[in-house]
Amino acid sequence: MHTLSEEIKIVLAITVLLFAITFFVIVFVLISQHQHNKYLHEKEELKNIYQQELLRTRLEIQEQTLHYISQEIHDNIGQILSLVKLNLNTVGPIEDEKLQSKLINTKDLVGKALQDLRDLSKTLNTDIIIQSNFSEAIEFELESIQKTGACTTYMEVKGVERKLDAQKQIIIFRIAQEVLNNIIKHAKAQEIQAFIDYRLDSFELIIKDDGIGFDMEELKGADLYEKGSGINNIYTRAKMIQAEVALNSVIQEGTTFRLFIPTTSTI
Amino acid sequence: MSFKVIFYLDVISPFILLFFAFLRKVVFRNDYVLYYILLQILLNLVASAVIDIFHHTNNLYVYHLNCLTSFIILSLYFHQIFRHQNYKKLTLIILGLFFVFFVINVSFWESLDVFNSNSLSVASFILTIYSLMYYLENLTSPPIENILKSKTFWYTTGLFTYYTCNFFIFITYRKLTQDHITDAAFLWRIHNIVFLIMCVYVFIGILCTPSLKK
Repeated sequence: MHTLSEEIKIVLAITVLLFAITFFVIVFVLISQHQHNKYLHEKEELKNIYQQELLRTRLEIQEQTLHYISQEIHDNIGQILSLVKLNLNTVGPIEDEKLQSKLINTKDLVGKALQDLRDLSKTLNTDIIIQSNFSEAIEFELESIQKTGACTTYMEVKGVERKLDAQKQIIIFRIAQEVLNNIIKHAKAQEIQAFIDYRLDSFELIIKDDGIGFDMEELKGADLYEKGSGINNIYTRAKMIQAEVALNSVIQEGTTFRLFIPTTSTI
Repeated sequence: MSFKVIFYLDVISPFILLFFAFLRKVVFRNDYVLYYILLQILLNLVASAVIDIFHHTNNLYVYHLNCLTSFIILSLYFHQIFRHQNYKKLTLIILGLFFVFFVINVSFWESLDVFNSNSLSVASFILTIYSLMYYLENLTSPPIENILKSKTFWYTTGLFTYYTCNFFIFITYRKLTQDHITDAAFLWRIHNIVFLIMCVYVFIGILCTPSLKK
């Protein structure tokens, strides 16, 4: 076999060495890039955990405040109004018809205020929401709306109802409350429909109204989120429990809200 | 017979690569590396034809032309991919300087009849530095995307491998051929194998390129 000359051998050796160096540089770049991406990923994860914690704390404080207000309404204002009603009942018949009519009217008003306060206390009280079934809590909300005469309501539950995780149940309930509040404030709806679907692998809540709707393009604008509107609250709360939420609105036809959670993240 | 294929690797491999790019309907516009590959096919084909078909004794002027045009195209490529404005400016300044050097080299040191070791090795050195600058840019402020899916990473890696590995072959080749070292042609076969490796890297880069969909 023909042997290579010394000069060629040297050039060849240096070329092989250069090849090894290029290979080393490429591997080094790849490893560095991989580590940097890993670092960015971990940083992003930590940021997400921090934001979740922040949101959780905020919601806990909010729930505690609502609980406190609920208790105050029930134990303090409620008691005072009960006493007022009791006192009014002790007032005997008055001969003056005009005064008698006013007294009856006042008793009714106090009674209504007392009932409204009890309903409000129930809605704000976290323990009651946890203790009751989710559909019951929503039904109670819908009934309260119907009582005001603002619009009619309809509710349908599909599947076998099961207990949701307490924290998640509160968050879903607060989201539903926010949606219902938005409907009452802005939608000018005649009817509100709620559909709850307990599937084996998921939980779904749909709230529909037949109101004036809104332009979906406006929702995409950053302004609406930055205004701290109810919609922003809905999205941030949903993100916290890994729920998918979707809003669909057609002007003059109404709005549909959908919340979906896979079973694995529900229980 | 099988070893003879190595002589034509600098034509066959870019041809297959370009054929694949056409099949994949890759967008050629502003893709300087694909222009470079196209240029390699043309000029290497011409270089081979000059010897094998037209039976001329010297085809080295084609390599001079190849060196200059390749350097212009690749300078534009690096000008395109660098993110730092200073790097971009540097590529244009160096391109101008290289052109001056190329003309002086052809006029005084390496005529068109001899292998252009000087211009080719200087071009290789500069392109190696550009490649390292690209890596440095990506290491100091890396993009969030996965670099393995980046077309420019694979393109640059191909160029880096080719010009770095062949640097010493380029720098010594004129001397070795002038001294009539018998095995000098062997080194050009090594060069062709490295060229094939570059084509493999460019091929991976093409796979990362979004194809033109109907």
